[in-house]
Amino acid sequence: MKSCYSNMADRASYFRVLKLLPVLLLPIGLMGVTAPSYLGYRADSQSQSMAERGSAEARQRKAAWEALGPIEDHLNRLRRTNHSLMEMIPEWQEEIMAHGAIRKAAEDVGLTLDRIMLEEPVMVTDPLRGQVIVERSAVLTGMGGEFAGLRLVEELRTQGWPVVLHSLDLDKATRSEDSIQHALTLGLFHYADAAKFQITSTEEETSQTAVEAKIQ
Amino acid sequence: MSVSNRNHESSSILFLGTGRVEWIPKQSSDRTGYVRGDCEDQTSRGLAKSATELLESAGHKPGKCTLVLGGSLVRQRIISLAQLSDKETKAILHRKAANILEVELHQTAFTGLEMEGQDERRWLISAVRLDELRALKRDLRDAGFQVRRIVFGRLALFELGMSMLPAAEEKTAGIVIGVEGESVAISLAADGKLVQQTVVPGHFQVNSTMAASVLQELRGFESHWRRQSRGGNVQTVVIAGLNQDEAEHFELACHAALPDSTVLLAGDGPKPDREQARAEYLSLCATQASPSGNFTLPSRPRVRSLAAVAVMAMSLGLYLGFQGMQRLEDQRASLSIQTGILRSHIEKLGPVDEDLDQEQALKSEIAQRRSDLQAIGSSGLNAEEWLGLAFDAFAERAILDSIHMDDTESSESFTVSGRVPSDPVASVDALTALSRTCRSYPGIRDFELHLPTAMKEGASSKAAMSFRITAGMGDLMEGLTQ
Repeated sequence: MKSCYSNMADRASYFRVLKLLPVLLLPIGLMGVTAPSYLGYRADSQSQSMAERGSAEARQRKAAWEALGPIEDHLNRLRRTNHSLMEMIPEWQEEIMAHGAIRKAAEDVGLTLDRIMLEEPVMVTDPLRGQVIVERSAVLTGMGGEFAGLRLVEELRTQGWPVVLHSLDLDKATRSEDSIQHALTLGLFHYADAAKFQITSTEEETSQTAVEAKIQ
Repeated sequence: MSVSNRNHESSSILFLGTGRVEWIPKQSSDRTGYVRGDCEDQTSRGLAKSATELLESAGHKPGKCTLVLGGSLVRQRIISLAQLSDKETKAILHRKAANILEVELHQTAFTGLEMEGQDERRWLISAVRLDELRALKRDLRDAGFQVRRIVFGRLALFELGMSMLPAAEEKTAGIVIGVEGESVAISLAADGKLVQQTVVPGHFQVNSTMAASVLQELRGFESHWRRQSRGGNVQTVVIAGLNQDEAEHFELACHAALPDSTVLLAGDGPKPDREQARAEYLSLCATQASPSGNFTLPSRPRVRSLAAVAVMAMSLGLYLGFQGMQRLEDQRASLSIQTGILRSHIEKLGPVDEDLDQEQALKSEIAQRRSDLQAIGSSGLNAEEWLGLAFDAFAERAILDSIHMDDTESSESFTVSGRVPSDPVASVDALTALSRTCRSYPGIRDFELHLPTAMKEGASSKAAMSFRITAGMGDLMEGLTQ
């Protein structure tokens, strides 16, 4: 506990602090002048760091580029490969083309079709160069030999259609030994315009239609 | 006996009290330049004017000095407080001081000195109006005085007397007597604290009954201390402000009144005349650096000084700033050159980047096309294999009626229906062989043989029995490798 109190010392401290206030102008003046230059220097420094990183990356890329050998030959090889892969799927095919191809193949393999039902194409891959791969499903029924359905698939592939078989029903009980009732579900693949297809597919997602044609 | 206590180097001393102005010039070791005058106007301006006139009449010039306050310029009161924290105590003392002066808190300058007390804390408050103190300092400055310190003489002398008291034993006390111009202040001290203080008004020198009154007070203090300390006594009496003759007479009187006490004279020694004794008294007050008697106003920072310091600080800041800015600009220029070189190097590699980007794009495209083709190729049924297996399994064991293969999203299923002879033995043999063959195929899963639950009515032993097989289709190659 203190034994003497006074308010005189408080005032002295206050004035001492007041006397020190002008000294604050020193850092203010210092910072006021240097701040713009410092900010510019910092920005330049960051810019130089980025340029250094960019230069290092550029050197790495140059080394990688040199390791590729003659670049045009390399790029042409890649282009050819890409083109070959692209050609494994046919361009956009109208429904009538698919219909005709199936009928032609069935005729060639001895499968007498009762019915062909083609569905709207469905997108199965992501867009690439503005194109997507779509699958058009076809449901076929008809009469033929034991392996007529399989030969139909092979025939379509021979014609250049990428085809998969989703289901196969053979019923030998209904007809003679030589003619078996076939029911097949095929998937035929071809390209489609990505932009157009995506728009139409979203608009008509719920109104999928089927084209059903009775074989005469 | 005399004791000297000088804490500060000597300087001019100006005393202002009730109706009195006194001056002791600087470097007057024997205090021979002491002059005294009267003052009727007790305002700050009147006091300053009286001081100026006094110095002019004595041929002195005003200058740096220590201002000693006395008389009614400083108001004192003793109060009692409960035990409180330092902060609360200080706040209460400040409020009490304002009450004594009847002014606002911000107009109050005060000191509070704790006194000896048994049950509660007692405080001696000394208070001065701040506005009056400031006005006095200002008017004195205008008159040419440069007041360095302001002390309250009575408290300063008490502190001096306290320091002169010998190390107190238990139950012993000391008395400090300060002979002021118009009164005598008597203070009882013990354990380093003030116990009691009284001021006897009157001039010691001209009033013959004054000494008797003081001696009576001494006896009263002694008996008070004896009661309070339960048998204690006053050991030492310190006297200041008496000349040699008065001091000798008073010392004898003191011995008579307080036989066990020792009398000490403050200062360098007995002074031959009253003026020198008074000068000695004021010197002792002025040189004392006690916080309780200190009313020195802090000097306000002068605008010119502040402005000068501000200009200097700003100039220095600007100078250093420009120096720093110059260095930074140089470094920026260097950085810009380096960055430019690096960027030009990068720009030269533009065609390389284009080739690499093209290569990367082609590779990505090829990878995606391969992935898409693999996905398409791996979808669908491997119907040829399974159809061949079905025909092989049924060959000469059963009649094949129908086959159904389907690939749903989760798995591929396989359903075959057929007929065997209805003869129990023959049918069991046929179906057992058929089942064994089917089960032996790698890749077949969940093989199940479904037999008819209802036999055809009237069926003869030569009629056929229908059955159905269901299974899941796996990867034939995978099954072979397992």
